[in-house]
Amino acid sequence: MESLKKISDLIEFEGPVLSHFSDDKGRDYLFYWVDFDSDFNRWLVWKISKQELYNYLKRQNSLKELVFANNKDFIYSVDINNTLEYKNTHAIDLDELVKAYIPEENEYFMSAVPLIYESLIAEFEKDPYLQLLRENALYFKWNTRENSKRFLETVGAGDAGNFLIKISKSFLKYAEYTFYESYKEKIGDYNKLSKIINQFKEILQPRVVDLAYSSFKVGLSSDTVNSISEGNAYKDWQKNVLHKYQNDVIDVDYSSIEDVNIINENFPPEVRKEIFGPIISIINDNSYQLEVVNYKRTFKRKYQKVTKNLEQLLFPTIVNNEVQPETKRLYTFIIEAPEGGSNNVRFNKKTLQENTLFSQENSSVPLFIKDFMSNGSALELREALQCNLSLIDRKYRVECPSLLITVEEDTYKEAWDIFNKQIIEFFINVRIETGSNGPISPTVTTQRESFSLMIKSIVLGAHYTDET
Amino acid sequence: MKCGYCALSFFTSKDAAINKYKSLPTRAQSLIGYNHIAEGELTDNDGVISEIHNDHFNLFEYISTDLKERFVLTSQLI
Repeated sequence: MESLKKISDLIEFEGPVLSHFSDDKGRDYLFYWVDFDSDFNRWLVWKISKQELYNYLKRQNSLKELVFANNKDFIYSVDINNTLEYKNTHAIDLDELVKAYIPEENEYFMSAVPLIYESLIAEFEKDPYLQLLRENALYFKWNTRENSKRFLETVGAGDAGNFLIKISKSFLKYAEYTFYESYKEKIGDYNKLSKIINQFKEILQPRVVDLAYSSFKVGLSSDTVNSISEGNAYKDWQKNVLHKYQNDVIDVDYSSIEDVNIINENFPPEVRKEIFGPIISIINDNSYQLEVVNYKRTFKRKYQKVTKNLEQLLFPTIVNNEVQPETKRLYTFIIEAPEGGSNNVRFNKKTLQENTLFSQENSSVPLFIKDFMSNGSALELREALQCNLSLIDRKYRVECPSLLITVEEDTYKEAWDIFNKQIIEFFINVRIETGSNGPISPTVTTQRESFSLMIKSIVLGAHYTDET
Repeated sequence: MKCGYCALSFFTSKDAAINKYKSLPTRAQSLIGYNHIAEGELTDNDGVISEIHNDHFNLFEYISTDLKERFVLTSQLI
C-alpha cells in the first residue's frame, strides 16, 4: 500500500478527502478520509476498476456505490500520520463497516473532471451516439420504501416494466400534444399533422441508456439525431422536447397547489390525465419512492405522495350530462352440446366460454321458429317459419318475409311480443278465412290455404275466446 | 503533500463557499467541523494570494498578518 502512487485528489478541502492512487501494475485504488485523531488520519482504501472510476467521475455512481460495489467483500482501513507512517492496517468486512464511515446515499463527484482523466473519459466514450443520449438523459431512481424492504433494494421485474411503460406513455403523449400545439397553425392539414406526430412518436420512444439494479435506476433519453424526412423544420422542437418535458412534467412539486395550477393553465384536462397520470401513479406507489436527476446532476427532484385533493384538482371528474345511448350489436354463436337440442344446454357464461365453436357479429340473424306464444295463445307450425331478427339504428326488427309481417320496436322484448301476437293473429285469420277447423284438406289451391296447411295446432287464450 | 494544504482557503463569494462545503461528503463536513462564514477584504499586503480557480483561492499569509480584526462572522454555514 505504501508503494502506491497518487494520481489525483478527487475531493479536497484544505487537504485531501478522496484520493486516487495506482500501483505499478496500473491497478487503481481510492483513499477516503473517514476519521482522525491528534496524530493520525484514518482512511478507507479499496481497489476500483477503470469503469467504476469513469462512472464516478461522470456522476453515474455515487461514492457509496463505489464502496459497496459487489466486486469485493472487504475494504481496508489504515491510519496514516503526517510523516506517511502507516499503522492499524486491516481488512474490514463491508457488513461490519462503521456506520459513520459509510457515505450518504447521494454523494456524487461534483467538481470538474481533472485533466489527467481525459484519456480515461475518451476510452469510455467511444460511442458518441450513446454518449449524446446519456448527456441528455433523465435518470429515474426508484428506491424501495422503508416499509417495503421484504426484497431489500431489488425491484420486481413486472414493476420495472410497468414503470418504463408509464414513463414512455407520459413522454410520448407530451411530445404529441406539444407538437400539435406548436405546429397546428403552420401545418394546417390535420391528416399531415397526425402523420408527422406518429413518425416522431416512433423516433422519440424513450431509449434506455443506463441501468442499475440495486435501487432500480434507469437513464432514459430521447433521440435527437435521427429524424423524419422533413425533420429539419422541427429540429429545435425535437432537440428540446425532453428538456421541456423535464421542466413541465418532471421538475414539478406535485404537492404544491401553485405547481398544479400552472399545469392546469397549460394543459387541457383531456391530455393532463395521459401526460401527468402515469407520473402521479409512480409517485404514489406504496412500495417505491421516485427520485429524478439529470446526467450532470445539476437537476434533482424528489417527490412526496400526491394528496387526493390535488389529484382531483389535476384530474377533475368530467361529468357528461349527455347520456349516450348504448350501442349494441347482434352476435351468433355456434355451441357444441350433447345431442338432444338446446334444452340440454344451460346457456350461461361458462357454456359460452367453453363450448363456442364459432361466433360472428351480424346485422341480421335468420331464425327458424315453429312455436309462437302471446297472451296465453299458442301456435305450433308443422315446419319452422323463417324469420329474421336485426338491429338497425338501435331499433329491433323482427320480420317474416313470407307473411309480410315486420315489427320494429326500441326493445327486443317489445318487438318479439308484438311479432308473436301478429303471427298468431295471422294464422287465426287464415284458419277463419279458409274454414279449416278440422283436418287439413289434401287439396290446396290458394296461398291462404297453403298457410292454413302449415298449422299443426292453435290454442287460443282467453283474450281471443272473449272476443269470439 | 500539496503546498496549498498549508494555506488558508478563501472563496470569492459566500455562495461559492457554501456550495463547495456542501459538495463535500457529509462525513468530511463533520470532521472538518466548520459552521460559520466570515467575510472580509484581503490585500496583497496580507500574503501571497494564489490564482482564483472555481471561485476559490489560497492565501499564504505573512507572519505579521492578522485577519481576525478584519473578518466578521456573517452567517451560519449549515
